Amino acid sequence: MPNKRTLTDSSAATAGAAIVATGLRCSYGGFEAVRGVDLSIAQGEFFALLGTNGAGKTTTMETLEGHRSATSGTVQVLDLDPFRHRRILRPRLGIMLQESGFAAELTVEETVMLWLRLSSSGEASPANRARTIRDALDSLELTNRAGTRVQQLSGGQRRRLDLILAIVNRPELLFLDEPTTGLDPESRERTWDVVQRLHRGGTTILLTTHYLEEAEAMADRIAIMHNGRIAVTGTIPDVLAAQPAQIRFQLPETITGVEPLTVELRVGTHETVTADSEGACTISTVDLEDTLFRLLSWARAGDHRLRRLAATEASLAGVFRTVSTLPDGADQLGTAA
Amino acid sequence: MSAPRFAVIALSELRLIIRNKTVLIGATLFPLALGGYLIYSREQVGRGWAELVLLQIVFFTLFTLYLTITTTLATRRNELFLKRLRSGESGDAAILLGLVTPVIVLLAVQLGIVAVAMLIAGAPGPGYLWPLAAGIVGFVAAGAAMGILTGNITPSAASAQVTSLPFLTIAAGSAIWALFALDWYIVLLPGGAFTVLVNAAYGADTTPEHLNLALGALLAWTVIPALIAYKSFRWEPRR
Repeated sequence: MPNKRTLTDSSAATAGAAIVATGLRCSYGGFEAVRGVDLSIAQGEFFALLGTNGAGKTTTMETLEGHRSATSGTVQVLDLDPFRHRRILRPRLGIMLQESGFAAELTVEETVMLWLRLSSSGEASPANRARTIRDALDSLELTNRAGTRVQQLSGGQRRRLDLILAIVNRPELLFLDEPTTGLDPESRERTWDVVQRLHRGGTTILLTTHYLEEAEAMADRIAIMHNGRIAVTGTIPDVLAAQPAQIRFQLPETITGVEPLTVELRVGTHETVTADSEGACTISTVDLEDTLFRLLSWARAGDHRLRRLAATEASLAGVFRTVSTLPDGADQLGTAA
Repeated sequence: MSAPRFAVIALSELRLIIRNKTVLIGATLFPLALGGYLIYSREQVGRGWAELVLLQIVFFTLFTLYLTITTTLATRRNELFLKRLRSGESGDAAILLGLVTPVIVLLAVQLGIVAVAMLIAGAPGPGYLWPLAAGIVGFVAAGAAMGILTGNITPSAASAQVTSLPFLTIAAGSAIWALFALDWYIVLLPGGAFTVLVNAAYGADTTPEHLNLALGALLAWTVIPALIAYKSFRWEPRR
């Protein structure tokens, strides 16, 4: 049973926050997709919103982008209501939608030109516009497809064009909804290079992705959603530190059950020891080093052989699995960052 | 100074219409060919110029404007292009105006070509210009508003063949019906209202009550659908 903790997301103070959502709820007809999300993302932060399919990530993103209004709760994006103040806010945002929509019969270059002319930055001279388009296409290796109609692009190329449209106006806040889905490894790397460059330049980034390793590598903080709620949030080390590491081994034949082991190891409240009928023992602990040291000391002192010994730190994948098995209506599993 | 956003969208949309051969033929060449045939066969059919003017404008407005707006909106929604446009800086009105404007320009060009062809064929100008001008503006505005409303409830370009039928029937049917019997309730329909104004332009006896009713009807057929469409517009396909 996972720890149940109250979510307190204090690392990004409300003042100076790029995004603040309080008690956010969103419904489609009778279905409540988002059920009370509290979220605060600081200016310049790289925040990853993770979750299972149907967890409510895209609905949350689209509400923050101003595509839909919240059913209840409050949302502030760059100190404005994203739905009511859409026209004021949009010039400061970059939005990469989960599903790309293009006019199939425009070329890549015409598509970027259209987008640039529709953005405030499009007021530049034609020469500047041409240079901006050339640089943007070059940055994501679409220069040789400039004259190709969008309908003839591969899925990965369309995704890269999507990213170009999201960043061509040099946004303060960039929403990336599964930006690397369908991309080959090289394109993913190129995509992240571009995004990281923006982040280093001060752009706040809110990312949703199914690639946990990308979130782990890029994000300053993460949140994992499940059933329309945020189940866990914090920095990666904090999230992992609050989740138990595991030590697995085969119980020595001289030991019957876990009771003697529990007593001799002086198992504390931060540890649990379980074993199955085959004698495969698992110790869950939030202090791997200390528990492992005591276990090995006990084994050496008693001359016990610990067959198939393995110790694993908590992983984001493990946390994700734990969250995804939370029953509907369960309380949040979380850490204070 | 840069172009307004609706104009940028309109130019892009015009380029798309030109590149899409199905739309190009359906919305330009086919109506022009049929319009030319109507002029050519006028004497054989035994109709007057006023009736021909009426039929040409009704026909072009419904097929070039109304149907194209309906299918364009359904197609752009399905392509998620509407959602894409809405994720940028353009306002809702600018997006819709941008998508509708090139179709209106296309219609204006077609009507201009047909008007020249009719004058060459010996058609007289209207005795009173303002009822014709008001009628064209009102009928085109009603067609555009109804096109947006129908496009709003049309899930795909193919299904536009079904969803567009009610308004096509009402508008074309009432225009033709009004040639034979000008009852007050026919004047409340868009085609009937337009017929009253065209008849007035060509000197037919028309009461002021009928004229006012026709103008009011066209205004209502424009404002009410436009408001409903604007309030309930769907920017992305139904999930």
